[in-house]
Amino acid sequence: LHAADLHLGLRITRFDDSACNRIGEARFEAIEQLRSCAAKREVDFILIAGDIFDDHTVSRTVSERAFALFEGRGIPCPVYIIPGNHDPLSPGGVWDRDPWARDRTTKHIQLLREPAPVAVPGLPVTIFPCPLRNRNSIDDPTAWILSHPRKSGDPAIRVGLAHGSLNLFPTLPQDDHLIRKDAALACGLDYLALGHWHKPLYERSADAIERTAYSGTHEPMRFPGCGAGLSTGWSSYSTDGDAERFQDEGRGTALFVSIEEAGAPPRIETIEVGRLTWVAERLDLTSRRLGEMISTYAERDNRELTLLRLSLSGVVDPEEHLRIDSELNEIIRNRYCPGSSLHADDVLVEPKTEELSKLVGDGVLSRVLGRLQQESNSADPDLKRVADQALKLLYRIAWEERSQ
Amino acid sequence: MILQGFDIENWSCIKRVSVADLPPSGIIVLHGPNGTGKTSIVAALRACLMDFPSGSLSKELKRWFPKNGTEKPRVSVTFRARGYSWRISKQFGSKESKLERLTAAGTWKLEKATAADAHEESRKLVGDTNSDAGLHQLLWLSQAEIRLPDPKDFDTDVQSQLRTVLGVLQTPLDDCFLARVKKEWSRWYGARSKPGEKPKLKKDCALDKALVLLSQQTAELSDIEEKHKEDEKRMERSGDLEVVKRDLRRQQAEQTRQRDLLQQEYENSLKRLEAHQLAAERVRQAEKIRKDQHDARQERALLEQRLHEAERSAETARVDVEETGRRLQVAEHEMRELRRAFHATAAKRQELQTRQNELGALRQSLALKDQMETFQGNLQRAEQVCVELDELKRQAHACAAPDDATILMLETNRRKADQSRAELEAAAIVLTLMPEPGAAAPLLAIDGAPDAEAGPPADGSPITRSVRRRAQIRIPGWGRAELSRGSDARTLDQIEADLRDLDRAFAEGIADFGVTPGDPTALDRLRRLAADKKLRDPELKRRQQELDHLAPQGLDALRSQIARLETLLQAGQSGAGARSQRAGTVMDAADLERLATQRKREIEANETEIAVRQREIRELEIEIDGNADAVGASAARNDRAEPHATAAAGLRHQAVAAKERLASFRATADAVRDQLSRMSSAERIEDSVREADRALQTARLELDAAALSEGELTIRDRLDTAKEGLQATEGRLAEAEREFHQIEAVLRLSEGLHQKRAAAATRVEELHRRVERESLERDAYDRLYGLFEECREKQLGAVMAPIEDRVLRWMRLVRIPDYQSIRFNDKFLPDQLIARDLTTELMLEEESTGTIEQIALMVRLALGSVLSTQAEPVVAVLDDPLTHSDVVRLDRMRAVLKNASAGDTGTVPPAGPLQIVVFTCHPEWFALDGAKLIDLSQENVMSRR
Repeated sequence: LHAADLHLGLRITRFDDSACNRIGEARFEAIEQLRSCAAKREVDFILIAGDIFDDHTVSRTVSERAFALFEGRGIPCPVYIIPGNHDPLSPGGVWDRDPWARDRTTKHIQLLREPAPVAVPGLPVTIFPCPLRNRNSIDDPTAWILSHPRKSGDPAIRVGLAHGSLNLFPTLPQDDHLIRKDAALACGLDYLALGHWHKPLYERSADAIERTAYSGTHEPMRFPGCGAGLSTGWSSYSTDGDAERFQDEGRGTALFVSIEEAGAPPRIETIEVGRLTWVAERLDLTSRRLGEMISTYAERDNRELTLLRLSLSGVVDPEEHLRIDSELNEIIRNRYCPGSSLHADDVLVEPKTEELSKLVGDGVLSRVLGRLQQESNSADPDLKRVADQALKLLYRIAWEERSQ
Repeated sequence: MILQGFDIENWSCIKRVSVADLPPSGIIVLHGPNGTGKTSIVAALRACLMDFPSGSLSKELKRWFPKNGTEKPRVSVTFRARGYSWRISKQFGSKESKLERLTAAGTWKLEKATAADAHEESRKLVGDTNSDAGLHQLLWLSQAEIRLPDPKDFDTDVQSQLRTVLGVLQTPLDDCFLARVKKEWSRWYGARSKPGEKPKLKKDCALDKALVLLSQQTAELSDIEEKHKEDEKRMERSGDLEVVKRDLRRQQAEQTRQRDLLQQEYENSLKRLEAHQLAAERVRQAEKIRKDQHDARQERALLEQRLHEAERSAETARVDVEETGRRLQVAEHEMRELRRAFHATAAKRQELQTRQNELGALRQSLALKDQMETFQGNLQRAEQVCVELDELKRQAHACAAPDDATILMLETNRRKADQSRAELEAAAIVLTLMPEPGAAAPLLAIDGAPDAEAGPPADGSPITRSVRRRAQIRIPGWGRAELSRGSDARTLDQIEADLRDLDRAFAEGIADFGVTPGDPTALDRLRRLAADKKLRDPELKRRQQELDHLAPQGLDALRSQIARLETLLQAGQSGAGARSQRAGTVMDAADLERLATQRKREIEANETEIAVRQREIRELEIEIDGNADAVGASAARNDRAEPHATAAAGLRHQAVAAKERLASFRATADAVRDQLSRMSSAERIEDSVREADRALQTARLELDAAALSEGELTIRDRLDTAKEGLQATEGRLAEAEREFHQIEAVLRLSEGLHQKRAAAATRVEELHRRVERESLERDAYDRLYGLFEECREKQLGAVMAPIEDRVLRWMRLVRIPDYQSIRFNDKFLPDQLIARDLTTELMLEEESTGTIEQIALMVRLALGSVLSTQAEPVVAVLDDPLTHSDVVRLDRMRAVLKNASAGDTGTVPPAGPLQIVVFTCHPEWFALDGAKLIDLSQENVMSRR
């Protein structure tokens, strides 16, 4: 089972505390799903291709929980782990501290600190780990494997375990631990398990066999399809920031890989192990029945495990706006996963013409309304923003007062 | 409602007052001096119409009851309302009341007979209010009531009526909305700011706290981020150190291997190295001994050479001593000879000088004689010139002659005189008398002259007289005849006077020249005299110049000079004779000159010889004693210079120096000899040298035998270099390890930093969102509040415009300071006065008392007017109004009152007429055209108790 980029202790900032906690907790829950999957499928070993932690300075709680999850009873097999660029082998870092310190013997966890072949006990498998010591480097972490070519008649299945960017695109930063795209073939590997990119990817080698793969992150950490502006506050250490390769698809994944023998093509299967589903939706309310929409969101399946970001636009009357503010907002905030949010800034409130005079009367308020409507059309964005908000407040207060 | 009349009896100080037939509009002035009871009348009207039923026991009412009497007050007011005339009559302190209505037939019909009914009905008719409520609150002014009602006390019914007439100011929804907005707004702000300024955020409000917290959290996050950055740098450095350490360890291993190999090689070569070292030491010893012997031999050779040189120098010095001594003697002899010759030449120069002096004296005597002869010739000629000059001067004195200017003046004089004379003659009347022969001579008085007998001329010719002015002719026996000239006589007198003046001037002008005025040739004579003078004057000048040349200082001075020269010549001639004899020649000037030239040549030759002698003496002195300056300079340049080497040193000095050198060389030679005597002999030294050479050769042969290979020669250095290199590498490795461990220690302390960083960033972002959200809400409420106020102002402006316009017009009429507008509040009452430049806003209360009273009255009248109609006019009762106004404004306020009472149907809404009833003690203040004046002091109107 190939997983990567667990980013435990994830640093996200664009949610409130409870949402941050829930999202952080989900990453641990997803590891439990990963363990269950490993047990269910009776895997021989698990490979974690780097970035198990979001940083090498994560708290003791996070590192201990991670250790317990991979070392505890629920795990059915060895777990081979390499440090990635988020949690590199830095002195005094997480790998130098309890419980990950080197002088401790472990039952399942095999933290691979050195770039040297490791034989999997009881199996004809040799793992070629490529641990990272830096955030960024211009060196190919798999380069050392070239000095260990496959020996003639060697029956061992050679598996590479590395963290970095497969050099598939010319725009990749040069210091993003670039891995030659033919590394698997060049190094004589049956399978190259990679981490660093957050969505699953299979790369076909020159022999037309998919021997290189990214598993993607095991738990999503982005709203799919949303740019950096709507991100969670997490950032990669790559110099091109939150590039597309660090965008997940809103679901957590791992790869189930089967290799019959040395030289045989691997069978790779993507499996979902994520806990939460991240969803970003946009709706135009104009001419839409608000009641139905509210019902739909109120009754949606699996909503507790859905992190929803709902952005509304369109034109509604003051009454509907009140319902959005109260009912729909209430549903999103309370029935969905913490961190779910409703964004109605783009919703325009416009009473029907026949209601307008009834709503604001013929006194001062009607004059105020006229002025605000003028300002709402202003080219000055600040003035417009305040006017739009003031208009909403005016309609709401007037509506409430009229209703009384 | 308007008043038509009233009857009051036994009310306070009033016994009775009766007023009727009040006009329905305009100004009605009820006046009387202080204490008349004006305020009591107003109180009676208020009580009867609105405030008290007749049976009321109110203390307020009782105070108006007569103090000293038992009569009950009785008030009856006739008024018009709802199209009818009504009369309400009340006897206070009793139940007796009635309300009557005037019928079309002119009779009063009783409408309400009971006190309560009559009171209630009359209240309804006049507005269903007390006298201090409803419209009366505005229009029934008590004494000294100068201000408008407080907005919160302003009657809501009136406001409602005004809203009906003027328009909606603010709806209940507006009120609720504003209240909500204000409430929300006050979450952030305490007070409104000036237009254009952002209000100040309330301290400790939620947003303020959030901002403070945000600032703190941001600072905290910044610290954490800083630490994170430092950790990142450390981590990067640790990666570099890993590489460095790996490289250093590789170097260390290699260098250790190299050092071990060299150490082995060194140990293998150790015995050969020691043998070589010993042989080398022996060679060094032999070389030292050999060097010492060679040095001794060289030293002895040097001493012998020095001795030889000293002895040779001493010999040379001795020869110098002898030579310089001989040269000195010769020079001194030459010096003596030269000095002798010099003295002889000097003596000859003295002799020549004496002869030269004698020759000079002779030449001077000859010159004096020549000069004296010249002076004597000059004197003789000068005396002759003096005689000639005296003669010329005498002639000039005897024949005085006028100069050219005088001649010209005299000619002009005569020309004018002739002209005047001709004019006189031309104007003269010639009186001619031709008496008969034998006739008596007539007496003539011409031009004022006394009578004179005019005898007939002897020749029998007629008697002619020239008459200028008047002539009287007395003819004896006949009478008198008179001849007179007209007005021209005066001109003739003037001409005659001028002529006299001219003649007198002419006479004075020629007096000095010996010519008589009557001489007709006088002018010609004068011209001749002038011509003679012109010829004589140059001669005189020439003689004088000659005399000045011959004897510039006069004849006496010239004679004195001749005498002095004679004395000098006599004194010189005695000496000159002796000298001529000594010269053996006849002394004339040419001889003397020739002799002088010869003497001069002799003197010059002698002088040349003296100079030559002096130069030769000087040169010889230098040769003997040397040039002191040159010797000094030479000494300064080089103290050790050989004396005979410089030409500046004299022979005497050279001799001394040669002696000194001789002594010095001899001493040196003695010292060297002494040193040589103390050294080994030359033979012994040569033996030692040969022995040392042999020993050195032996040692070198031994060293060659122990010679080392290239490797053996460098093994020690190579081993040391290898050890140093290894040591340096180990040092660098240790340093890298130490730094690595330091980084490790620091990074170990950063455990949990990631979560802290995330938590801090989350807090900051959450606060940012909160602040942004709340700021937007705050800004929106602030905008709503501001816009509401702004729009309300505009609404108020639109609604209150008719009132504002009217009041502003009246204010301008009264000349209240220049205000642009009046800001009314939502109770229809004025709040602020806005200056014309819009920069000053003044609360009405900030104005002067007089202005407040005037504006308040205007607003009352303006508001009251819009509630008054032609069909249902309204009464305004003003008790002693405008007491704070000055005379000028009071005068203008009358116009306001008149304008207000007339109403204005042209405005929207129209202003209805007012019946303005003024109670005052100053009727003249309100005496308008058309005003009805009622004098309360008149007995038929009012009587007091």
